[in-house]
Amino acid sequence: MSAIEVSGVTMRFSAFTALNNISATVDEGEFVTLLGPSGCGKTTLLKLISGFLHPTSGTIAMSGKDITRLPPEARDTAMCFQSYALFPHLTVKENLRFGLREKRVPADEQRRRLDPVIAQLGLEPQLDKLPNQLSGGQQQRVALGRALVMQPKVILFDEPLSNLDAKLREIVRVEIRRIQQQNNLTAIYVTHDQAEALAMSDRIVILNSGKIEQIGTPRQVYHEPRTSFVADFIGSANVMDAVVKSGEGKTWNVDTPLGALELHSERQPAGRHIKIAWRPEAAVLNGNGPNRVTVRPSHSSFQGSYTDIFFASNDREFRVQLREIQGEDLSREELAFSIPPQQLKLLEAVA
Amino acid sequence: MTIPHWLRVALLLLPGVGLIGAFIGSVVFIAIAQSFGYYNLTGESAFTLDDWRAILDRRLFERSVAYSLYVGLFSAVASVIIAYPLALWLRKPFPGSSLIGAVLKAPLLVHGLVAAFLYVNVIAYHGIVNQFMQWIGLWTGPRVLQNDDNAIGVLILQTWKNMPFALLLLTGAVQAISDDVLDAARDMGSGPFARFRKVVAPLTVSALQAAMVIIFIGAVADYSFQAIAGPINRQSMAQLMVFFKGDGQWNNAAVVGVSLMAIALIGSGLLALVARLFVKGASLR
Repeated sequence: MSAIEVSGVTMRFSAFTALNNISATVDEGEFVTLLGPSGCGKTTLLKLISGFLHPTSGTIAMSGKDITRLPPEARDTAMCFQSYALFPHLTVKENLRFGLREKRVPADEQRRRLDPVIAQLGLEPQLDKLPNQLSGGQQQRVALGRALVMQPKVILFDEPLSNLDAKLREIVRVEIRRIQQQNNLTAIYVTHDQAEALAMSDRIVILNSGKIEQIGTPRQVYHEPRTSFVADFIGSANVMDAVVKSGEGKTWNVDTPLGALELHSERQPAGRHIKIAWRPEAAVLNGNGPNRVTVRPSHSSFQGSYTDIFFASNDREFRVQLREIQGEDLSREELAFSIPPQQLKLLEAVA
Repeated sequence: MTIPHWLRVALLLLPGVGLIGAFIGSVVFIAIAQSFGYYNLTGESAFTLDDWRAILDRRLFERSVAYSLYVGLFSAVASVIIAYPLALWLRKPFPGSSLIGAVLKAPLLVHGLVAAFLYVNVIAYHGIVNQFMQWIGLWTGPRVLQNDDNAIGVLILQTWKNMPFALLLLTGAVQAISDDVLDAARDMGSGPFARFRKVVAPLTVSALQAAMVIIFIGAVADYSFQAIAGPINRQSMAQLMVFFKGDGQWNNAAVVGVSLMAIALIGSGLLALVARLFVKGASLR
């Protein structure tokens, strides 16, 4: 049985449709990330799961029980807010105990739950401090601890790292994942940061304009994007129009702005006129395989471990990322590379 | 800050605060001095405790202190009790909320005397309330509602006049609480009343104290509402002070005036303390 099951959920705010017929499941102990650009509906979906909003249509179930109309205080969820949302008038210890007292958890049980969380998050020295005496990272830990002591069925994260600096973000990100795995928590995490989603998640739900574009493991959504939006949003991709000329088994021949290319795919093309994508790092410098392309770079940008090389073909700009072999200068007038056929990905049909 | 800095601050404040301080200070000084026998307009000016002794022994004074405290406390508490839910309701803008907010604050712009006379007209023997109650059949004949013994009229007027002030202070404080903090309390299992007790009240206690203190001071020293709509058989401290002054008993009037100032000062301090302790106690339960 799924920890959370969202079925056909639509959410409208007056004339604006924030979510359109969304269905997804989250298994017990799974870490699922809702990923998408601003305004895609990911926070709305999280608020529907937490109970702060009620859907216009559709249902939400937790462990098989319908919770669609249940208020947040009656749901077995705990939320980590983007702003941390610590109670400013309460000490760290009081903040941690707040939910336990509200749920009337006996004092010895409170201690049994608090002590390991305090130790796990290293909050012992901060217990008597007020939130405004803590750094951003410490406040985030308290917010996380406050949610953890509730031992909820599902823990919800609303962009919890967006107020932290880059270095701290990485540390707390690892910490959240470690704690989630240690406690076998079911977690739903909202972010617009694709690197965060790839690093932390068991599965990623990619949302765009209120619709699900793709659900999959980080590797699936990165290596097997289903739409040009996913290909472009997760990492970077060269997305181009293609016309399917012929195909046999898993091999397809397509016409593209880079010329005729061969691609291998388990899936059938969605039509004759389709979009295809390939990752900039898929290019093999001086490769001798199929799909060999010779281009005149317009400019290049040295990035340390690799070099970004840009070129145009048929009024479209492309990018390849090539590793520089020691001492080799990639800023040439002409560059040849090949794209392995399995690195070319079939996307949606062109409308 | 260095001494020249402090001097500069003091000089800058002098034209405003200094002038007010000087005027109020001189009045307070004269009142205190007069209550101890100085500035005697009808006899010899010399230090004496006779006026204090005489006034403190009088039942009339005791009753007026109790009555003024009753009006002051009730008005302060009733005003914030009514203002809190309204402040929470108006916390987030909605269509018409600005208009509702403006209408609720309108009593701030109506002079107390005008309000008192309007009220007296409304509840008059042949006023609209009496007519309405007879029309709906609840009363068979008109009733005397004016100058009621329990000062309900004064309390209604005080609350009507002061509630908008409490609303003004509490709305600002309530609006300063972030949605996330309230949502977090909800998420942790708090119902509406628990959220109020454990989050809203503690985070707005300073505004609550300020509102209660200011309303209490104004209401405990009420004269006009009491004179127009108050009970005939009771006198507020301000009324008693005016009565003594009108009778030429300036030193007695000064004793009542100084007592009123002391009650306002100590009472407001105690009220603020009790409000804070009450909110803290309620939030811990």
